[in-house]
Amino acid sequence: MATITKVQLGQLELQGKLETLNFSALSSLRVLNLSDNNFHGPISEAISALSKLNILYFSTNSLTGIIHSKVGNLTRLMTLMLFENQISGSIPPSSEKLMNLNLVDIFMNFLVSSIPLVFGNMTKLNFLYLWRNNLTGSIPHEIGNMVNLKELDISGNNIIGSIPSNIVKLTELKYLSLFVNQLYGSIPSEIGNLVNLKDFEISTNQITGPIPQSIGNLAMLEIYYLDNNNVNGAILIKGGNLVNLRDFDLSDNQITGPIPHNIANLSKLKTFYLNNNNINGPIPSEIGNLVNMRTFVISSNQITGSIPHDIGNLSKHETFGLNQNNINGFIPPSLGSLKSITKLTLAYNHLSGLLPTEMANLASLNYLDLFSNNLFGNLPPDLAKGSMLLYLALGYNNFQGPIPISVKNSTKLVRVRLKRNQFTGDISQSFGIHPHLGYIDLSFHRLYGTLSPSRGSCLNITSLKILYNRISGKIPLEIVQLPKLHQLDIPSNNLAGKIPKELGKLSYLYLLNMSNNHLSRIIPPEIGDLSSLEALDLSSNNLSGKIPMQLQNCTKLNSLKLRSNELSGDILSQLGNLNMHEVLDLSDNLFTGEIPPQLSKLMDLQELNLSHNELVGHIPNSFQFMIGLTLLDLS
Amino acid sequence: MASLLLPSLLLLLLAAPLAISTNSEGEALHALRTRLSDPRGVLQSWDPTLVNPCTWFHVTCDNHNHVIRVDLGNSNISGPLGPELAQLKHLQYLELYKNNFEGTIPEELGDLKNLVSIDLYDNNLHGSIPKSFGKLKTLRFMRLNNNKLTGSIPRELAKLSNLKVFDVSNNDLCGTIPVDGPFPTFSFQSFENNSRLNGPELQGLVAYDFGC
Repeated sequence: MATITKVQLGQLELQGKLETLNFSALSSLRVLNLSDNNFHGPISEAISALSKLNILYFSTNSLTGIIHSKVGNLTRLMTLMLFENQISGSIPPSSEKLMNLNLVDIFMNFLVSSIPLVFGNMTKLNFLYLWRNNLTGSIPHEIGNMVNLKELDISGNNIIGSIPSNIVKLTELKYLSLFVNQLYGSIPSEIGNLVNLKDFEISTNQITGPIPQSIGNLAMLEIYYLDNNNVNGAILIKGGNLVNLRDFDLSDNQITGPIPHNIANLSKLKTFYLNNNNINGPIPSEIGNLVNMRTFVISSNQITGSIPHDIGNLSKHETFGLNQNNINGFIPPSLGSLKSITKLTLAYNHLSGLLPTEMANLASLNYLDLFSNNLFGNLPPDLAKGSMLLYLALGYNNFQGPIPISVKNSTKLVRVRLKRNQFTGDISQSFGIHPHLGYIDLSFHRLYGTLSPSRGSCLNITSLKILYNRISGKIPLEIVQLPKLHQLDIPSNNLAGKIPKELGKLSYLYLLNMSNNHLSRIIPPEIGDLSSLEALDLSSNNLSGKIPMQLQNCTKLNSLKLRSNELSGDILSQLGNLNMHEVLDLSDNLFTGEIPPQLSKLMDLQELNLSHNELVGHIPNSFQFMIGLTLLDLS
Repeated sequence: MASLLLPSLLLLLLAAPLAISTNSEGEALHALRTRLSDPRGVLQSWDPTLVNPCTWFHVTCDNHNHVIRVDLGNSNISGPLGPELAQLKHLQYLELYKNNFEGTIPEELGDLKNLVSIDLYDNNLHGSIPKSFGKLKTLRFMRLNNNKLTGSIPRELAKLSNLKVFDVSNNDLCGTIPVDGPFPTFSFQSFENNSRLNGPELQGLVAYDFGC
């Protein structure tokens, strides 16, 4: 009579409690696959009836409870897959009887307590995955006894302690993943004996001490992630054995010393992260030999010297990150040969000289950050000619001349920061249609012309900052109809005409600064509709008329500056209803009447200036209660 | 075999984090943001991939790109405060009033040596006023009113000689009110609606945490 040896019921949307299955009737089973269903409940002792079972495949269900100790009776078990459930408790000690286990996958569960010692006896175990559980305690010494272990992944737990030196015995190990735990101590030098190691990941722990030099022996190593630890000492690449290393991440540590010249020995290196360390010395020109390099990020260190010319050889290079170092000298023209480059960040360094015209060749460039350097001169007009630019930051340099024409054509622009240079030209010619543009800062330049964005061309703008330029003309309707505008910051220009009443529709606007222009006529009452307004500065204009009563509806207003205008009438007593914390400056206007005592309700106000008006009467007694004031000018 | 492919795929997802490239102050603010609920999207501009938080809305920096102000008053934000705010070493104004911040006031905020104003009023904060606030020597404004704070008013606050405005009204504080330092200048409204607060400290006669 035929007996059932295999039951394959995976991925069938089955439901029910696992215990209800009559395991005793299936005692001849070799393979039981119930994976990827909706079974719930615990793995009960009835499981022990499956005494001939080789493969147990219960993964991706909703199993709960603990693994019953009777599972130890399944002595023929070779493959145990329980991953992606809600199993808790610890692996029972009776599992030590499971000497035939070859593969154990219990990742993504809620196992607690330490990695059990039982694994130490399992000399046939090749694959052990316990990642993303709640395991604690240290890695047991006995781990070294799993001499045939090929892959070990215990990442994403709360394992503490140091890596036992016994790992030296795991010479078959190809894949070792310990990341996101709380391991401390140094990486033992015995790691150099794991000659088959291909992938070693120990990110996000508290590892200290130096990078062991013995790593240099690992000729098969492809992936090496040590980031986000407290590793110190210098990078030492001994010999030429790391020929297969592709992905190397040492970021976020306390590594010191220079980038070694023989980094060029890592001939297959594709991604290299060294950011956020204490690296000093120059970038070795040998970097130019790493022809497979795609991503090279060494930001936030103390690297000195200039960018080597040989960098231009890296034709596959996509991301080059040198932000926040002490790099000086010129940008080499060879940078224009990086034809695959998409992201180039050289911000916060001491680079000087002109931007080479060859940079115009970087057609795939979508992210260019040169912020805060000593670069000067005119930009190549076809900079980033591929018009793929998303992010352009050139601020805090001495660039002159017009904004490159290719910026106007870059319809994908999201963020533009050109603050503090000496760009000139007509602003309306410098920009075109930018439907994704959110943040734009053109402050401190010599841009002239009028603000006249074509209808619907920049509807996503959240921040428009054009402080200190020579923009003239009126405030166009298109600007005050930008639906997502949070900050309108255009002081110190030559804007004239009236404040459009449509401005009231800007429901997200929290900062409005149009001070130091030539705006005239009244402050429109619609300003009271700005429900998000926190700071309003219309100082130094030619505004007339009264303060609109509707201003009392701006309940979030913290700072109101209207100084140096021709505003008249009484000081609005309802201003006292606004809980302003910062400044109320109405000085240098034509306000008449008495100082309203209601202003003393502004108990949190820090600065009150009503000077240089035509006010009469006394200072209200209640002002003595404005204890927050650090400045009071009523002269 | 499926089990070999699956872990490496999922590990790629685990090992490729949100590329946080901001500085430590941006990281601190980002860590706070991840715990908060922000239905109005007030924190939407808080992008941790930017080099520093100085262009984030409601964050103000000085000329050296250090955060000096965080202005999130009246923004419908809920969630706990955290110790990472203490990493904003140059912070002068911490304005978190009129929200639904919950949990306790982190004592690490006492490390903010440059703080001028701390406004946590009108939230759901509980626990006590940290004694470490006695270290905030430059503080001028401390408004913690309208929360669920308990415990006594720490005597250490009497060292804050620059404190001009102090409001702990509408809480559940107990014990007595200090009489040293700036405390005599505060009006009784600063302390009202604390049913277990017993009035000014009677120095030498009654232990100061009497009734707590």
